[in-house]
Amino acid sequence: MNALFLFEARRSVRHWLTCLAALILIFSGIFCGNKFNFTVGEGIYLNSPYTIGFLTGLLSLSVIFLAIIYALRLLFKDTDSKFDRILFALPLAKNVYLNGRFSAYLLQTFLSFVLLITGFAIGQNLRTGEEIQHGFRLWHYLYPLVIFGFLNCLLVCSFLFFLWVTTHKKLLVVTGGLLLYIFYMVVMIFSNSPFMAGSMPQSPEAQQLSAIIDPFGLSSYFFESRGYTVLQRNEQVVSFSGMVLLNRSFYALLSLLFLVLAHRLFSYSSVSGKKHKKKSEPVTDLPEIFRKEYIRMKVNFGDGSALKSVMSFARIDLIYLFKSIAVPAVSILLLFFAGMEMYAEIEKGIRLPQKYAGSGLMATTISENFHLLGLLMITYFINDLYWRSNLSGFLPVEKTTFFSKSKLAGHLLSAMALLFFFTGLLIAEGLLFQTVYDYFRVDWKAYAGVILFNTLPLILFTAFVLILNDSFRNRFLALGVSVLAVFTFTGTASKKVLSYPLFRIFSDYTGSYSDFNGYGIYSGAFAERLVFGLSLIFALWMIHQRFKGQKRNFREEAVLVLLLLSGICCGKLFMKGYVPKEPGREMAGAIAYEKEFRKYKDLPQPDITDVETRIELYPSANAYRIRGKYTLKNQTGEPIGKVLIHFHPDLKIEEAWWKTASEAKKIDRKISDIDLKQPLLPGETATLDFEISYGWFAVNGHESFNAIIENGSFMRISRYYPVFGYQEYREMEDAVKREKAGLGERSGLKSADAPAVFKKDFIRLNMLISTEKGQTAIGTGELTEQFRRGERSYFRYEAAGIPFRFAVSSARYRQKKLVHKGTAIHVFYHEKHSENVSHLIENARLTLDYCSQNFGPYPFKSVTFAEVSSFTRGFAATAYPGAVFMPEDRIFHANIHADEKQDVINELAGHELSHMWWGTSQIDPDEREGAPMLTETLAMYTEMMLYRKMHGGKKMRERLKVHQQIYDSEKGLSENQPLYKVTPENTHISYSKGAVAMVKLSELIGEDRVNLALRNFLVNNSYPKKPSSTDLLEEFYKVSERRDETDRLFKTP
Amino acid sequence: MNNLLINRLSLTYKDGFRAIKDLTLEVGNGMFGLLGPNGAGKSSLMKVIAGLQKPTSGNILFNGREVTRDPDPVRKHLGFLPQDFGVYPKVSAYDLMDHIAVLKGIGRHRKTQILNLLEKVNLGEFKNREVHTFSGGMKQRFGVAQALLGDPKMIIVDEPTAGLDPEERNRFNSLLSDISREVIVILSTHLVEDVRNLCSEMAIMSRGQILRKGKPGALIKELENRIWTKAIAREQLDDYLSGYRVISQQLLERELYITVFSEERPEGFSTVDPLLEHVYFHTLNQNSSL
Repeated sequence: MNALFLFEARRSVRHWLTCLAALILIFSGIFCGNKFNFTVGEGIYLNSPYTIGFLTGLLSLSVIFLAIIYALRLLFKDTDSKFDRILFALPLAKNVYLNGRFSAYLLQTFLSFVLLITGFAIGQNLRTGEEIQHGFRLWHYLYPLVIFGFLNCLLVCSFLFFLWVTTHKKLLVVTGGLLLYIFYMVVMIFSNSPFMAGSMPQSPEAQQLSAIIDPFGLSSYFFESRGYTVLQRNEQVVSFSGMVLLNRSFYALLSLLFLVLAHRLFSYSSVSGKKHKKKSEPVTDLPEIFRKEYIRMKVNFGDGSALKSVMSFARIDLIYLFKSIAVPAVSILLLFFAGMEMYAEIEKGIRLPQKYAGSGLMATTISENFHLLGLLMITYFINDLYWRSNLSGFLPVEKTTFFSKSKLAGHLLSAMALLFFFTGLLIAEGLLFQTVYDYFRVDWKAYAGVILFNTLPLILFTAFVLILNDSFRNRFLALGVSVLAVFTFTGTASKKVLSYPLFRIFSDYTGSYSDFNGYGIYSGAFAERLVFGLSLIFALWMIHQRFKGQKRNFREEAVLVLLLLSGICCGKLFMKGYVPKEPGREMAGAIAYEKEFRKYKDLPQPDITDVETRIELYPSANAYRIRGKYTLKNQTGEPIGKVLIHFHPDLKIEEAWWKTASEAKKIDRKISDIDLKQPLLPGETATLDFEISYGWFAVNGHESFNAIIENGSFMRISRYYPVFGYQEYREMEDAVKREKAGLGERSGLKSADAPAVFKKDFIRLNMLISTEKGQTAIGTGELTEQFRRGERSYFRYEAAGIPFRFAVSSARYRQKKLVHKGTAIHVFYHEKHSENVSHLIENARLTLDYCSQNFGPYPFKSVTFAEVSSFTRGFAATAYPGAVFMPEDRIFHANIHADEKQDVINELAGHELSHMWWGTSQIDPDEREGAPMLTETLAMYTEMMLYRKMHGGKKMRERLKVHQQIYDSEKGLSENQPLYKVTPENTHISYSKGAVAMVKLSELIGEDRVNLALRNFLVNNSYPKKPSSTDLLEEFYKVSERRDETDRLFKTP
Repeated sequence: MNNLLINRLSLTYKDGFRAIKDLTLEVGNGMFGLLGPNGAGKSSLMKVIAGLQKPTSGNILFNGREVTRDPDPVRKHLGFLPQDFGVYPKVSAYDLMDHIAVLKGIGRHRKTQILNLLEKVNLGEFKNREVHTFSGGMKQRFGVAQALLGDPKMIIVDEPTAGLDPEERNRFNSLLSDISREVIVILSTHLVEDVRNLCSEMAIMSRGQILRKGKPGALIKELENRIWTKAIAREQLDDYLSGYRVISQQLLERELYITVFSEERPEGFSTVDPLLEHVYFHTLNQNSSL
């Protein structure tokens, strides 16, 4: 066997570092296997062969980092130690040398990955729960270990080996590795990966292309398994055929090609020979030495000199960095990567329209991508800078100077300069995108966030990594520990490692930037945590310096005390209102709730008939207060002896009273069951008077649907009002855990065919919303009164006969209004978002006309479209009686002129406005299978018909094609339900498949007949009936003879 | 007058190797030569004096201040040229000199001294060239220049003339000699001749201990009429080694000459004027036979 290989293998096996690395890899694997909850789809187990394969593929990305570290250690060892001069003088054949080096390199990388996967398998098999299926099958781990693990090791190692042979530059090897990663990320955008959901779906052509060129093979894995059912994914591995075979063979061959080329291009002389032009030394008649006197210089060791020494270290670092290829190469990589992401964020694939290249979008895109790359870059650069004096042999000279103690501070300063340089580059790129996309409204506050959320925590991390490097005597150990620090103290893992949020000082910000609200209170909170982090790191720095033998410095200690004091104050401010997430607490609560209150499921409860409420919004304090009075009525045929009342867990009860004619009872618990002294007889009424309040803190984060923020608030506020009776949604879902807790079967959804239900639960709503001066509050129903009192503005909204479903928004709005055939159309929008307002009004008119003509009159006097902040996420638009709310960053503020294939404003108006006819407005579907078909499917149908009306049949069919693609790409990831039994989580069925089915039906029986059936459906299923999907099918049957075809569309999966 | 007092200094490395053993030494202004074979502990001693290495026990006083725990007082006035050193890539000679000058606390007028020193070591024309592209000799001269930056009160030079041609060596020696009038210069070398020519004081070190210390002339004088030489056949060497106190053997025109120490002239031997080299070998020899 190759002597070099054997020598390397023996040396490595005996080295303590190898054992440490092995342990770290196994434990990291166990952590991933045990803690990662990547749910690919509903019903697909975490240890299904499909998920194992996919996660192994994903974990194989770590090969890049392992291979880079090993390349630096193994491949450059000979030149670093200058042993090459001896080694290459030996009669050693080129092939023997290269084979020895490569085989040791590949084996070390692959074995490391094997250790990681072994840990992963152990971690997974230690888990229990609903998401884990029984039994261990070795093959399920071995198969992806070969097709992803081994082949990706081969690819990365051969590529880096090739770079080593051809360039002999460490940095190019590192850059090459990162380039592979970036290439993979770009390909993944087009691969339909479940992790790139934002860019889904991609066209089949794009998917096919990415399946072929994805260097790590994951895209081919997704492509090959796209037709798999949930069962197949749970039971069988994705076959090694088709695209998987093609992709893997292609990259295996490419790896071999790299190796062949490496062998061809290698020469000993190019490794050790240093090419530089030597300038000959001058021959002087009388050397200067004899002519000139030696000049002595006074020295000064004061603060000024100390500062200069720090700057000198930084200057030398920067000369080195900017003169070498390092910085240009990394800059290009960074710009390329961020540029791709910016492009993807703006263009948004084929489903969504082009976004405006606003500063906020650019800044958040930078923040999403810069942080992790920055951490990795700084880890490398600091290791390189710190150990450079040691490696170059300059340390003995440098360290014997008085100000050698400034070394760490100097490196910190140069790293800071470097980080600001990269930050500047990325911001410049953002501005360039804004210019190219013709949206040059620069919001410097947004870009300042890039510095706050990335550059500053990266600087703190730099200081930490410097301390780490200064604490170890081995460069690679220091690098390994630093990389480990990246993955444990930052990102997702840090939430597990550092459960107390104050200590996550290196973390990034992944939230939104809103034109309404900026970064909200998060920027302040982030800054508070940074100050705390600074004091922590400064303390650590000083302890470290003292440990290293530096003398006490009273001034530094005074600064430390000041910093610690401000750090503690800021830490306290940051942690204000913190509610720890106790694992298991929610589950225990759910179990206790179900055990105690399930009996109420079958007990009669009163219905809310009237809601009188005052909502006081305090946007700048992120708080609101609700006063309310419910009128409740026993609408059952039985007397009610017990009442179960729930207040939302997030809201504080200030005061609450249950009152009937004969008794009044104070309520002070969030869940209260009241035994009535005198039962509430059928037809009798009671009242609930309550005052509740809410406020949120940055440390816990805001709730998307309860976002009371400085400007652009939106609350689905009815969800936070008290409710009566047993709440099924509180039940625990996990069947295994239910069984353990002795809970038995969960209350399932009723069947679509269950008997019809009539229930008088619509309400009369009278809400008076007050908000801060300058803001307009939008409610639900009609605006009936508006006035100002003191520093507050008041808005009264009223509605009668609507479901218990209302929402509120509040912002500093611009307004546009138009009255169309007696219906007022209002659009409330941010002052900088006026581009699509007229188009929206035009489409709203069209929708009102179409729906009134075909389905019945519009039930309100006005319709309001209100834009809300991007702090609300989770929908593109949402309709409430008389009002439609739209987050600023989804559809409303999109560049509809850039994409001729799509008119999202038309879709928005058509879809959301039609909800005023469908659920939940004029009809309130019963909570059972198929309910989303009566809301979203019908809204999608209306959207499609209006699209055709505005843009013609051809364009409409193009949109329909996109929906077909969405459905196709997602159908294999969960149970494939027929439309009439669709459940709410399967939006690809209710929206996408629904749109296709309804258009097909209209082509089958004609649009007029479909519309007639829908009109009849509204008439025949009006309140108090709670219709089901079968009621709608009945109406379809009535208007056409083609029952079988209709059933095929709606009743087959 | 500067003073360096090394008091009962010991250094044992982690692997158990005792590099310095209970060493005591006092050095004042002027050039102090430290002679010793490889592995004698010279470089270790220099590292300890320069604060690069903490001793296991003992202490060092520089101008009365203890510097083993806190090397700052010595680093404020130290010029150090290690035996083997490298330089940062991509940085020019001037920039690197400037960097060290700043680290030594030299103020804004440092440019004058940097240029002066670069010229003195004949690198004036190369000040803008990256140091890592220098030849071995040029790099060594650069090392000399950087050691002289500032206002050193103690200069430690470890094998300074290695890699210098004879002419450069002369220049360097006279430069050191000039400077050493006001400062301590500790010169570690294998070149006995340099010590003889330059040093007012010297010590011979072996196995971590000082074997001999004194003025070179006085040490030589001690050997007058005690050093004898003779050409012998190679096969006789073992006999002579066992019968005489052989202090050195060398080939002269392919003939083997041995030099022995003896109070009386041994038979067949001729007298030799003692050299410092004889002092050196004799001292080592004495020590090894103890």
